[in-house]
Amino acid sequence: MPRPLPPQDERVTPSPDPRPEAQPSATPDDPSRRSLLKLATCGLAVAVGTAVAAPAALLLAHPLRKKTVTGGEEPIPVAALERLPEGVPVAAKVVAPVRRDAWQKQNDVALGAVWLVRHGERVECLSSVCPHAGCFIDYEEKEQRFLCPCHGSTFALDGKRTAGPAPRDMDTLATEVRAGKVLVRFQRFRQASPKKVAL
Amino acid sequence: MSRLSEWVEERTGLGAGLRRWLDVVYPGGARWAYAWGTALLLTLCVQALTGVLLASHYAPSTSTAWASVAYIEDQMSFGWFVRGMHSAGADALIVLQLLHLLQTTFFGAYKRPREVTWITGLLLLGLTLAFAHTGYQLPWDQKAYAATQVMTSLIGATPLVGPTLQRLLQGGDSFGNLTLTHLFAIHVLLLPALVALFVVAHLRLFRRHGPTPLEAKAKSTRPSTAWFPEQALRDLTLFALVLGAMAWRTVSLHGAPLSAPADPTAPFEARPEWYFLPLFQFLKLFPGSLEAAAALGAPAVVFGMLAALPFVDRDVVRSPRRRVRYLGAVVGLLGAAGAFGVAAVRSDVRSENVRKQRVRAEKESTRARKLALLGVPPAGGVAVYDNDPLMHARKLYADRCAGCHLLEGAGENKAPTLDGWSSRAWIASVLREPDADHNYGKTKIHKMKPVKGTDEQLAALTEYVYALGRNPDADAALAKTGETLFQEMDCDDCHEVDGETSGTAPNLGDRATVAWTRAFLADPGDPLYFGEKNDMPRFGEKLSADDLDALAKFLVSLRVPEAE
Repeated sequence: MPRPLPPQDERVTPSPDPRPEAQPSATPDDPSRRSLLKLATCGLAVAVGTAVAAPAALLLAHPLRKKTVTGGEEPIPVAALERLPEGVPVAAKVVAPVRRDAWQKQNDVALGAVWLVRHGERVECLSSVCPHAGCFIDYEEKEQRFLCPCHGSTFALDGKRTAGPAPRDMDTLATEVRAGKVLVRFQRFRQASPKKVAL
Repeated sequence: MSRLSEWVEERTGLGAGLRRWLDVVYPGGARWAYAWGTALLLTLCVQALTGVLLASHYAPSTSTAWASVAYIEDQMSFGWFVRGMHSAGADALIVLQLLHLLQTTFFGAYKRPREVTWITGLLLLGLTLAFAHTGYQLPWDQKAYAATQVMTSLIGATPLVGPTLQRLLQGGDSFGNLTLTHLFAIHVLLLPALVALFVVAHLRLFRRHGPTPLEAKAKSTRPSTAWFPEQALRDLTLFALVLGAMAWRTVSLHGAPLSAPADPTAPFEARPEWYFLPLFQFLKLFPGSLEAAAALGAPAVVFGMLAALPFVDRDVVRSPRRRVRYLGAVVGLLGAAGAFGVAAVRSDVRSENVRKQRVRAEKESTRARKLALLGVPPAGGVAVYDNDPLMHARKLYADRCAGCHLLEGAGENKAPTLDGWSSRAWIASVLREPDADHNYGKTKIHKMKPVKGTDEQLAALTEYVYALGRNPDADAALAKTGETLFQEMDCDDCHEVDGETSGTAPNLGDRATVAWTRAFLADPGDPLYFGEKNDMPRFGEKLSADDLDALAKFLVSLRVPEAE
């Protein structure tokens, strides 16, 4: 059973849709006090907003300030020298023995694949990551060349760019031979840049 | 610029919409009593922001939940602060809502036409509690595990639908990855959507009906003002104070609590957060089958009574003085809840057991979080303890030593029991009865004669041998007496003590130091130790140098029994 609204409630309840024009203009304050009040309110809002936003920004910036993934920077054994054929590219996986990924400690993490080309006692190592957009560069045995299947960049056996959109030659990685083992220092480089910049 | 704003205004009405909010009329002027709403809304915004940040770094699964939270808390820049603020924000929301509720009750603001505003407010309080509970379940630490255990057990005990509901929530018959993905989805998708819905409803209704002044003040002739800036300044000031309190709590706790990873094998004195303590204590009154009914029934009754308030107190009168009955009922209800909460705290404060458990839990947490700094193994959770060298040594012990030596009730008894190895008690026992089964009785070594003498003499001898192991807590004076006795009782006929000379029995110099233990393990048959009488394997041939070190440290650590 609906009852009439109590009179005092009517007095304190504005119309359902108060138009701005209908705003009470009669404040006892003089304009300068009012603008000071506005300034103080806005100032407080900015201060409070900053206090909330600053730690948030600092947390988000964590990956810019600290390394979140580490391990596998050292030379990693990838193959036995004696099993590499002379002058023919052979793919090898680079597996980091220990890796820290944010909160996790992992063992035997595959970092990527490389192409190894043996020249006598020396081994050349080419990254399989295309310097253009990062696709996996494959070796075409018939053509004796490297081909990136994504955008068709091709590279000679020594990694020199021969065609396609790749901005530079294939990236070489430092190798050494120790006790018959081929070790590779695995790195990634910035894509789509004519210069080879380590990441 | 003005043309751009005109363009935007014409198409969106953004400015007019904003102005409508800024210019909400406060009849009778701005009041501190109206500040709760905005403060609550802004605190909710802080929760949303910190929540998004935490969700950006949290991984819900049994193997990653604890590890990712520990990473946020202990390794990310300002991670502890953001997580601490999110946790403090939950507390603040509940405190503010309770105060808002009390103020609304006092002012009689739930009355016609604001019944629905009141009920949406109550629903928001309920949703906040659900938010808070799922929130502290997500880290999957000991506390979360216990909270989930209790919650799902109570749900499971509900008549008819209980078991099905429990399986649905858990994502199976037991806790697992699906439990955490479910809780995560509830906490970050479902509850925010519901809260947003009811906040919008609550605000629309507030806009429709306006604020409610105290009846006595409603008659005042103070001019009305707009929300901005008069009321806005009060609202923001209250929010700034709330934010300050949250920051203070966060800094003083350095983040938010995180107990050791969930471990179903370890005891844990589970206590809910303070806002659930009244229910926790209340449930102690209900045995067995009634508990589940009470767990769901009690909150339902409390919320039901509050929701019924505007329909029972139907009089137009809002003056608190003329509504003592209803005010008394609400205050009584909250007071009773408070009393139950206080009783829960008091019974815990008095309990020696709870105190011990808390110290233990604190130690476990510190240990686990320290080990997590090294990176948590992929199995996650309790696998963090594998980082502990002593844990590694324990595994070595189980593989290599437990076949002959008893420890903590496990293993075979073919050689001395190693509980408290080389502690005073252990030494004294060997001195008194070297041929007892738990000493050298089962070995080939039967040459030593039991020490005859008074208890005082035994204590002195023990102290001397103990002091030879360079124990910093050895009593020098007593050891001196022991040294004299050592010679008088002809112990030195067989035992040298310089750590260099071999005799017919082990040289006791530096005995049971880490270096001594390591050398002993490597070759117990060295003339310096058991010589020809030895029948313990030479571990120098079987273990790596690192493993020998770890095992030696572990054995030495047995001397100091873990403080309970």
